[in-house]
Amino acid sequence: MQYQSQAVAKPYFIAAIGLFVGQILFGLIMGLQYVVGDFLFPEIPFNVARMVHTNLLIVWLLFGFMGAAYYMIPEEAETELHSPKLAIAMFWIFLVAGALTIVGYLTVPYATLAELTGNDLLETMGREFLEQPLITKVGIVVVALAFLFNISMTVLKGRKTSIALVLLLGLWGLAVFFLFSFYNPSNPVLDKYFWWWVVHLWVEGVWELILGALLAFVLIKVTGVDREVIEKWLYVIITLTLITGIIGTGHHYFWIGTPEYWQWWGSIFSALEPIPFFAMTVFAFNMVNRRRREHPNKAATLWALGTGVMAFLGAGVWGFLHTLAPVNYYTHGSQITAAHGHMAFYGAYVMVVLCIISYAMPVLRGRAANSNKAQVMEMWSFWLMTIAMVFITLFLTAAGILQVWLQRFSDTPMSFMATQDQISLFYWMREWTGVVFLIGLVVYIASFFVKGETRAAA
Amino acid sequence: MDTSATMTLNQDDTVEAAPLAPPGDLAVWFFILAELLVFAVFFIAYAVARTHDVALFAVMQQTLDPDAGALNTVLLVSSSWCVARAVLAVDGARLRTGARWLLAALACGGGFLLVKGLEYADKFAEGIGLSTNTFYMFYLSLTFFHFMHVVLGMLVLAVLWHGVRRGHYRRGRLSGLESGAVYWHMVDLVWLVLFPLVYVLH
Amino acid sequence: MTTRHIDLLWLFLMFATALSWWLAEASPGAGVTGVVLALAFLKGRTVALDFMGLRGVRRPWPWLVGGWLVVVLAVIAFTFLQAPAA
Repeated sequence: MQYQSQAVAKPYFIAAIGLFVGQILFGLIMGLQYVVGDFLFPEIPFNVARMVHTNLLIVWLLFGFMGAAYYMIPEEAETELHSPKLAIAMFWIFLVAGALTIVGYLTVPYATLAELTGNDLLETMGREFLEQPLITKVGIVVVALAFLFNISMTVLKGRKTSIALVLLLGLWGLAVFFLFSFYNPSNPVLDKYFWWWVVHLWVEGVWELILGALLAFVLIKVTGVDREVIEKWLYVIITLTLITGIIGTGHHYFWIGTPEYWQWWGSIFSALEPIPFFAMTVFAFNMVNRRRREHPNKAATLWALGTGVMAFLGAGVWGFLHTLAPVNYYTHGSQITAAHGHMAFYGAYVMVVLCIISYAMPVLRGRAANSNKAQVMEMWSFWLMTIAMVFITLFLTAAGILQVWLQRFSDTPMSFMATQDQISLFYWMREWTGVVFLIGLVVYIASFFVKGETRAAA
Repeated sequence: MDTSATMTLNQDDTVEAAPLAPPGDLAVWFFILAELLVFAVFFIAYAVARTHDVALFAVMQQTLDPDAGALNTVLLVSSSWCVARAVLAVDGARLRTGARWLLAALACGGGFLLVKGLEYADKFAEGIGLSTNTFYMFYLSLTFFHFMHVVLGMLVLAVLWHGVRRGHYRRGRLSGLESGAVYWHMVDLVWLVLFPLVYVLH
Repeated sequence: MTTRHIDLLWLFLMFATALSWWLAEASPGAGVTGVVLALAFLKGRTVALDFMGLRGVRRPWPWLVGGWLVVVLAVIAFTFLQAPAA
């Protein structure tokens, strides 16, 4: 560790992994509820399990991003963090607020929760992924601003690298677009229109900048390739991301009451969204092939390559599968969307956060890399989780295709629930594959506790 | 793919023997290919959409001003020529001349924006917008997307002009200048397809 | 590449542009479409090979940009054959 204050990243990473476990458990509960409808009812109804599954995902990724920023920024700026104390204070505030919110979801009926938390003052709740009570939303903004203040001040007083600037741009964008979660017009078209400004412009816009910065940082470290070369690619990738991602928002504007030209804009630009992901894969492999050193941390390199490939498949290919308007006309909101969502989130964001954790955690624990034994175990977890996710995606895709066929394409369409019965086999297979994913996650966590010969930190 | 090797080769490409790699930076070429792909998709979408309503497209194309389109072609092609001359001048260590050619290229680019702006003003005054019909949806989207590329290209040219004046580029260190020049030529190339497709063929 | 060479190319491009502009007024037909697309190809090829400097560059570069031009123009030509102007 080059700077003492980088240590604040550690609790963020630990919390991220802890919440990740929670996310997967609720995923499994929900997956089972797909086939055993009254499982855990009325304690944890399906809608609550879903809310917890998705909210935990976002919160743990945010913990991961913040941890990554606290780790990377001092090293990039070549100076200590502006205020490590503020970072730790924000950690606890965010963790407690997040935990209270989840407890609220699980213990109080949603409508009561809304009443208790002042939703009457400003109605922001009740929308997919933005279910958080008003006070939690305000808390997120406060934490985000304090965090941004902290890292921006650090960059301002230190060296300004392209990676740091791209990361800052992504994180500021994340905070700015979240503000649209407070805007809830009564016109449902406008409501959905701006809702996507949070949801889409996060994951297919500013988050990709964060992804690019994290990946570039780890690649510089593990390959020793010149910063200039890596930064050049980073610029190309983020420009492509912004062009295709921002106008690509149009693929959500096909059928919600927005003007018809969005069907063209959305189709054309989102057809090109795979390009930046493809560039990222080429970039990662290219840099690793040209490496100038053999970094002892092989596991981090594996995650870096994995995130390129899986992001391209999940976000790029599986996204393209259903973003052309004529295709989306049939597939909209089917299990194909769920298939895409799973692999894209895993490939792009879960893997890149695990990648930076994989690189940074050993350093934070005072060694350049974990012991060979621990790394082998971590790589096992990589393959278990990744292959499980590939199969989850394939089963959901099969379920989706069958669903579209029976429910929407057929001359004698079946009802939604009747169709669900027909595809339950795929849901069962998905659930079992989900168990394999959980095993992979357990192996991953276990790898942190494996001892063995290690080399001292560089 | 040994793209990696070319990227470093390029840094000081003296172009005496048969050059292996394209001029400019590999990353810029990757970007250019992506851009060309975007435009290709757009052009093909236009051409296919046209087959569904030939009559509408034929009538609507009559409402465009081919003179403005031709004038803009002249301006863009000329500015590309100016940029090519600028690169040659800088390569021959004639920096002042090079800067002047870049300025001329910028002037042509500005002329393009002006003509296009007048065309837009004309159409907007008639109340034409993206939702008017399929033809105008394409016309406005396609040309405006290209318009934004001209704006970006001009920003690049301005940076190059500044760099040439400060002596950043010379023979053997032309990569930055060439990268920007190649991007500008790409903007020109795209227009060379756009102009006949939208203004001429009907 | 000399300045004289570049100037001649510019003259050619100007001439080709004038020709397409003149054809914009001509009555539409398969012949006109063919000539206009051929002119577009020649102009695009000049820009790609000479201005962008792809002439003599190792493969696949000239092919990628040239291929782009050919594919785009071919698809356009095909759609005009399918649905000629009324």
